[in-house]
Amino acid sequence: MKKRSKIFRNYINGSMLPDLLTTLIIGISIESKSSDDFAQFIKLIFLLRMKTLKCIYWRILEKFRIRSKVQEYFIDLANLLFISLWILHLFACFWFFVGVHSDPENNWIVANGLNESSTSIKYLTSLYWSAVTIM
Amino acid sequence: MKRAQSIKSNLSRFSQMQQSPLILKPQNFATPLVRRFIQKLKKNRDFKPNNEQLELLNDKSVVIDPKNETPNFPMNYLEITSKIISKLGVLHPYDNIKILLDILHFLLIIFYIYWMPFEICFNVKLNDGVYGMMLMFFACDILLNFNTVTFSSTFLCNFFLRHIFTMASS
Repeated sequence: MKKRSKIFRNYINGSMLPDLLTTLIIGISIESKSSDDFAQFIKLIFLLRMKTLKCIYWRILEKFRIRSKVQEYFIDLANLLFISLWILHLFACFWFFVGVHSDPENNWIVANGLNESSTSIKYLTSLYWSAVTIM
Repeated sequence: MKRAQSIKSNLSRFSQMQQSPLILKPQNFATPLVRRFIQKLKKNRDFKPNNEQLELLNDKSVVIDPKNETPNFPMNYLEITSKIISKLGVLHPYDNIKILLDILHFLLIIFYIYWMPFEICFNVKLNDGVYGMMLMFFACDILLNFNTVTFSSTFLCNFFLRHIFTMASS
């Protein structure tokens, strides 16, 4: 479709709303304070961009015309690694979130003596837990 | 008789239009070919006709400004922007620039998809500059999407069917 009116209509009916929402989310991220829980959770709407991510991924693959089997295997491997690492990361974050929002004196963070540790150590510990549990 | 009456009515209409201060449309006076010629003349950069010349061509589409004695074309910002947009042209989705922007878009989405859960759960915040840059990029992407060619489903169906049949025949 080369006509602007058709492109406009097609975009409005298609992915304009998720694109607008996710852009708004970035705007909210600038304004929000880290203590505001509602503003923090609204950011999850950004996951709507996963659809755009998929479209862009296929467009890039089409452009570079990946035909051979070896290339396909490498791309599949990269996909698998990306998805599994992302799920691990999600579970690690969720595990830490549960620890923070449960009983302040009796949670896994206090039990492991991580209360005063840096964020990176907390993250690595929860990532280790999720890796051991899932894999 | 009828013809004489129609000529009379046309003449009276013509005199009324000449007296009225409103913007007069060229289609009332000129044949389509002449009209096209007048429009081309107006767009010409090298030669711009003055009012007398336009009047000689029987063009009454301009309101003559007595101070400047130049045609006062009804141009507003909307017309100017629409002209600029029409000159820009549309982008092809497999164009090199578009693919480069897509790769950047892809990397930004992956970065934020990883960063977002970390930000929510660990209460850490990125630098505002990074957010501003992302906001700018995504906003520009929306504007760019209005200017990018898309494939209709019928086109894709025809394309793939043809592709399959050519493969099968070879």
